[in-house]
Amino acid sequence: MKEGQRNVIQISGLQKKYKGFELSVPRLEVPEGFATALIGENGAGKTTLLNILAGIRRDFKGEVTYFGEGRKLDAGTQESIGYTGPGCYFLPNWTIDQVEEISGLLFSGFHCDRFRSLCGELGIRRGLTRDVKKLSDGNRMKLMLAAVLARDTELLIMDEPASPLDPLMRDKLCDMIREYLEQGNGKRSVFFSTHNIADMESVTDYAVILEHGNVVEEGFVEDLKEKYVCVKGEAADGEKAGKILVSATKNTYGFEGICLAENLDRLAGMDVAVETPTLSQISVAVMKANTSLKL
Amino acid sequence: MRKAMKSYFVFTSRLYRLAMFLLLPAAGAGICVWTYSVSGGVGGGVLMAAALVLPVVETVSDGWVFAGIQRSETSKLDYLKTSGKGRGVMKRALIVDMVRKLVFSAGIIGLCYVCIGLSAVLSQGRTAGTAEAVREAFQIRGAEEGIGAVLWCLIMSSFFFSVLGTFLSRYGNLIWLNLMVGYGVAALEVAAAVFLPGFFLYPYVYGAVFGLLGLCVGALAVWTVMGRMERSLR
Repeated sequence: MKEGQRNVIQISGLQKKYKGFELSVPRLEVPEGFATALIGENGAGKTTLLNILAGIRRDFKGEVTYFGEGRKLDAGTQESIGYTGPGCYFLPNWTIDQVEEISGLLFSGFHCDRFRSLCGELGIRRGLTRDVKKLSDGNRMKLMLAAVLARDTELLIMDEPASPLDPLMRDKLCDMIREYLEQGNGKRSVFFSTHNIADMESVTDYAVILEHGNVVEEGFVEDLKEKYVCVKGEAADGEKAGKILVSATKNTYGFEGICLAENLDRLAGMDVAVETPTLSQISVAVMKANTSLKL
Repeated sequence: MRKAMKSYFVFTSRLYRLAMFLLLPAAGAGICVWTYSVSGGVGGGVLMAAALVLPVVETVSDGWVFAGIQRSETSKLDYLKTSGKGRGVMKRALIVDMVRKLVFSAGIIGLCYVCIGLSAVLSQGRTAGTAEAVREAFQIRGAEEGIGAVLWCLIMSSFFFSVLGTFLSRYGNLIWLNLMVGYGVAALEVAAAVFLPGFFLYPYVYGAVFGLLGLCVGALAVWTVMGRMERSLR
């Protein structure tokens, strides 16, 4: 974390146990004013963590505070947090008009006119009988986005917002996140989980990688790109390099892998090309190095 | 009060409001008067039929408001939980819905009574002897306590079976299943009228018992949803 940087979320000693799984986050600070991506394989604990942060689950040990002021999660704090998530978000028989009415009742900072304009912008058809259950997954996500973006919030927590969206809408989502952050003048933050790292990379400032309920890597994307390098080399060096790299893939022509920049000198003598990795490459490498799956 | 009404109404769609608050009373009164006129003046029977149909209508129509809300996956209600007001809104909406069922039972059956009574008076073409015309229209064999007591009993039984039907149907979210549950509770209501000893002899007692049972099932319905919502937080 950069010096003097305020945190929008501060977690200490967080523990949540399920049968055969434990989410354990001894310390995590999500910087204020940035978009932070939560990355991890299926079952890593991303949804559990986001649910805890949004107040959907309250049965955990540890402390979570918000907005750099030590604010705990109460009704006032929830007013400033927007959440979109999968599963049972809206009641299935709600109509789009009801979503508007209910949002107005639940959140004092909800703006009907903004919601209507966002629905139009995102191509959500409104009508008397337009039930939420009849919407496709993508349109349901758009409706959630319209509902949270129509509110005056300082933090957006989004669980897999990109997954149900088409490529065009993912691009639009990135634009919306960027616009949301810009309008906040450094006071607004976004914390989202994603499997579509490549699509969301353009909007990601900070990344947290979660594996088996533990944070295994975190940092600003620019710092991670300095910490790790992408290395490509010939097949003959593959085996030797594999012991130094965080993770590597081999083929008949050579190998490609992610290496800690500090270990680069250990590859001396090998014929390798070094490139700046993408966040997606770094994430996959870190996940591969920490996964329990036999890949 | 305003807050409670608002909490309830946000759960209802415009179509539901139109159907339940406008069409149902109008159709109920119209059908009752028509049935009374074609049945040869059996006003009491028509009122009993109304008290049977109302729980079916309530059970089916609940599918447009709280369908499947007692199912464990639906009752997570994530959107409501992301607001500090969410649980309060949900609780108020459920309570108002139960109160509305009581008001509707009284309102619809009362409206049918008034409409049939008016029809009876007008069809006899007289203004004098109005009370006599109404008494004739609602003659029920074995009902010694008079039409007032019968009305009380019908309203409370209709309320209880409406609440029971909606409570049971909220475990599913299929409209045909709601219909089956609706028919089931209507059949139970018929069985109660037929098999309970002295149903029309002691209408005040049975009315009070049904009213009490309705309140208990109503409280159980609210408690079930709120309990599931609370448990899903943990």
